[in-house]
Amino acid sequence: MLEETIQRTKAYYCLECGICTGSCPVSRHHENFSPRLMVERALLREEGPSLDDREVWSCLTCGTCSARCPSLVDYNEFTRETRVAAREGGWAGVDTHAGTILAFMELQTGAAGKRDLSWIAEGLRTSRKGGVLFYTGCLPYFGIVFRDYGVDAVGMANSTIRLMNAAGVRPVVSSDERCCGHDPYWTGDADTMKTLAKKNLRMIEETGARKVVFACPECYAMFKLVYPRYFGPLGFEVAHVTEFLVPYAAKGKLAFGERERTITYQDPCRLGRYAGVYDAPRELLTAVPGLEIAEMARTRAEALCCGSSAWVSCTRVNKQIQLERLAEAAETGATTLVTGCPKCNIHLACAARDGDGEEKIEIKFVTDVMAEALES
Amino acid sequence: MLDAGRHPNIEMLAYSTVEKVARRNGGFRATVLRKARYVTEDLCNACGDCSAKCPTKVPDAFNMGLGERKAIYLYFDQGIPSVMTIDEENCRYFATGKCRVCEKMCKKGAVDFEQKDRRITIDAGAIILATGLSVMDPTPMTQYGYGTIPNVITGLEYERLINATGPTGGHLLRPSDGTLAHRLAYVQCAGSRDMNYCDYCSSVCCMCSIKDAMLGREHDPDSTSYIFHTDLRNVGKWFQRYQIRGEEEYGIQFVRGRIAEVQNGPSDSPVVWYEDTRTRKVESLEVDMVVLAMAAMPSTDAKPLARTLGVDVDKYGFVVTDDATPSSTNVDGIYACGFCKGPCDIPESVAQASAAASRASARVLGEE
Amino acid sequence: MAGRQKTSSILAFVCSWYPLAAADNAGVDRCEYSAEATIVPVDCAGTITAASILKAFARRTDGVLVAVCGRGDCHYSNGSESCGIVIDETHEIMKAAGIDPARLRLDFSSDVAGKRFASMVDGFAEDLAKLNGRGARRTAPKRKPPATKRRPVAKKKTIAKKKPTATKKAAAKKKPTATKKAAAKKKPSAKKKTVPKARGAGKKTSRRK
Ligand SMILES: Cc1cc2nc3c(=O)[nH]c(=O)nc-3n(C[C@H](O)[C@H](O)[C@H](O)COP(=O)(O)OP(=O)(O)OC[C@H]3O[C@@H](n4cnc5c(N)ncnc54)[C@H](O)[C@@H]3O)c2cc1C
Ligand code: SF4
Ligand code: SF4
Ligand code: SF4
Repeated sequence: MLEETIQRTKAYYCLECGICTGSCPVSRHHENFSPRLMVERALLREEGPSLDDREVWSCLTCGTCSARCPSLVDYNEFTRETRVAAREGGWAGVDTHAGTILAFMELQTGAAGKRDLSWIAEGLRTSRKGGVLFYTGCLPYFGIVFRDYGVDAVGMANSTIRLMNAAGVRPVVSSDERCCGHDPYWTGDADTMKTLAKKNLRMIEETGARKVVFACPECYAMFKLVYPRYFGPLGFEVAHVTEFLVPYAAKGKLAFGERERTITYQDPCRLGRYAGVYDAPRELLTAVPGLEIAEMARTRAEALCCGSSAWVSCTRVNKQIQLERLAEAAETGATTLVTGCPKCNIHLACAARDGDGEEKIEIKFVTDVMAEALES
Repeated sequence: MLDAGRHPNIEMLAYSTVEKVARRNGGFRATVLRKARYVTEDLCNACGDCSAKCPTKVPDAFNMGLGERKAIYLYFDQGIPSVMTIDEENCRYFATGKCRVCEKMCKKGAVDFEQKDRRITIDAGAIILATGLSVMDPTPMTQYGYGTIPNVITGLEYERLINATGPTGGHLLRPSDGTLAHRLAYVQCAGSRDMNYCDYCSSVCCMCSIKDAMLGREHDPDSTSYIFHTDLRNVGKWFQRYQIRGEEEYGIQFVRGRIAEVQNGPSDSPVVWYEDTRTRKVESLEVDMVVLAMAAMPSTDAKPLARTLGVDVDKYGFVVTDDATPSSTNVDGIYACGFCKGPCDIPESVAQASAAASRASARVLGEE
Repeated sequence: MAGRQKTSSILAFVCSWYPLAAADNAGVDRCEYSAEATIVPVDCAGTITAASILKAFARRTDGVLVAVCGRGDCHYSNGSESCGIVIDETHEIMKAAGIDPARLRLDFSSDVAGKRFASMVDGFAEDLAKLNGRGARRTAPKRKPPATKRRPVAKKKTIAKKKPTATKKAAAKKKPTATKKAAAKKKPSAKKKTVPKARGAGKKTSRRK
């Protein structure tokens, strides 16, 4: 098992340069956590990274280390496979939010029925069959769980539909949709992911969609990068909502009113380092006349992670990373921190509530900002 | 180079490009483009009267853009042949049809705006490739902030700054504010031994950084250099001793751990982040300037030339030679030496050059 | 209540103060009640999470009963109130997922009478039977319980072991939509169980760690 992981992730190439640990946002705040030492322990066959080590769950899978590793060691995959082994051995992380989120994801493997679609705002046009499908992911669920955090996740889904409508697209929103399985997958539960994926693929086939649009980069990355690995090439195109809308904005089919403001943009790990989409959100945002982007010091491929992922770790360390990022955002002088991912939004908004108030900056999801700027 | 320039049997064709090479009588006929300098080489004595008055300022490529030169310029002081050149792209006369100040200033009448590009053919019995190296472009390695953090420079830029004839007269002045840099961090293996960029060791940068750090201390007794390395590859005779001298006599701090990222700190002083792999601790260090020991790659001009000549190069563009006959390429009569074959330092380049020259002579003299 | 329809598997989270005393008294007083209920004593209503309830549903429990002390009577301080918030949220999540929120019932009571407890459980069991009859849920065919062991809590085992006896056969027979007929067929196969046994089983395995 460990041997296979070492082979698959090319951990044996490691030259102990320390770039990974020096790059890791977790290691900066937590001296017991070191991706390099995890790899080293595996290579020295010290029973590998011990599976009951809680640090197995500390990695954000942000991809910073892997992106910089001169030996191309795929540390994220190394982490994921270690988690699979840990889970098989009976160890699991401490789920955040008392496990609610991972539980409602698991619920969707079978027991759940047809999704309730009554959250779709009045006046928005959606359909049951058609060429373009909006995959809402967990937004309706997050709308429930994160209401008290000042995050309106249902609003994010609605603003996405509103923008698509404004572009003349009436997306399919299906009540047979299931969670994409991203979070179970990254917590070492590939079986749940596979069950969910099969249901989603069948659902998409039944709607006849040729293009699937995502608001959440994590769902997007699952479809783009992980599903094909398990199920072969997809029979449809995938696009993040920003990628989908840019051509409409460029052709003038989406018109925005003047909005004088300076924003800064948080590159989500899945959209950026994983899927390589950096320009589309920026192009879309700057399609709003008067809107300017002030980049943070660490941006694009070097962007700092929002500090938490897959709902397995939310500790002092995660909060420190988030506050670090909020301070960096505030330093740009921007009034709004725009995120390309609903989860970044949730994590940063949560930290902003915990912070001492110095990092006060409005945090908004990209489609909310765009929908507000629509000419109407 | 000076020796070669003076040698009666060596003719140097600078400012020229080999355009075509054809096989001819067991040898070669090369077509060489001699670009117009708009200065007559035999008349110019490089006095500099012309450039003193030239109104056009251009970033100086030889000084890595750190300084400026005029549109009529000497590429560098020790260049051969030591004559001025007008850079057509930037010259005011070529742009507007007016100026010709340099022509008026030149007492020798060497400036010649009528000069045209020329093509000459050379019949040769053998060809030696010595196209050397280019330094990797640091901008794709965005974690090091080159181009966005002002006080992050490359090793070659450092060498110009520390050089008495360089743009700052040999003082290590920070690009951001012109103050003297005392604390320097060297980023070893920047792009080298990195499968994302060059997966080989550039072989010269460890020694080069030690040399540069020593030079820094010689110029400024307050200078402290930190060399962040994966492992120091000082493989030549006495190289190890050189490193120890650097540590003991020049106060160089060697830190085992590659720099993970560079951030801009207060007053533009870069902050380097790294894991000290000996203590296993993640640390940051604020310095005045960061020097990137960028990977050295085959010259960017070498690939087209190799194609013209039909010479095999590997995926990086290094000329492929046989281990048993290390000077010979796949084309009979074409030899190679120096960095264009693979990483090597100056002494080794010189040795290889001698080897290639003797192989070539043997062939021309019919002894092979 | 011999002729009662027993068609459902119920997981009952029971606070170990008043409600558990009530369940205990139901046994002492020989009040018979639905054998489908598996009682999981919990230290306090405040420890019940949405996750444990949702996981019960994910593993195909028909209904979840949460029996906690009356508001203001929490032995600690505000466990009952916070439990109320958790249940509200869980109801919303169930609705979003297309599971009838009526399958999760919250009972606040500081009454330790066994009879009340028994009839409350029975009432829930009957409502569930109606829901099942309506075919409101459960469409997917057989599915092995996930191998994952997120948290080594014994109640899971209880469900996994118990479930087959209660619903497996019926579920296997049940094709995509559970019809009244299927539900009816299921009835006779369900075995009656006595209260103390159910409670004992719950007790033995449910103390964590
Ligand atoms: C930053 C740095 C510092 C270094 N410091 C040291 C040091 O201190 N000591 C040391 O021993 N070594 C040092 N080296 C190594 C040293 O530079 C090389 O070993 C040496 O330059 C190789 O010599 P060369 O003649 O093969 O190539 P080069 O010196 O690169 O010369 C190649 C020549 O070919 C020309 N050319 C290229 N293509 C064409 C073409 N198509 N047509 C016509 N002409 C062409 C180029 O203009 C150039 O003049 C250093 C290297 C680097 C990168
Ligand atoms: S960055 Fe890669 S090569 Fe360097 S220590 Fe980490 S895993 Fe090893
Ligand atoms: S993926 Fe991110 S959090 Fe995980 S070890 Fe790498 S840098 Fe650290
Ligand atoms: S010579 Fe040194 S700095 Fe250069 S690539 Fe090799 S090990 Fe790295």
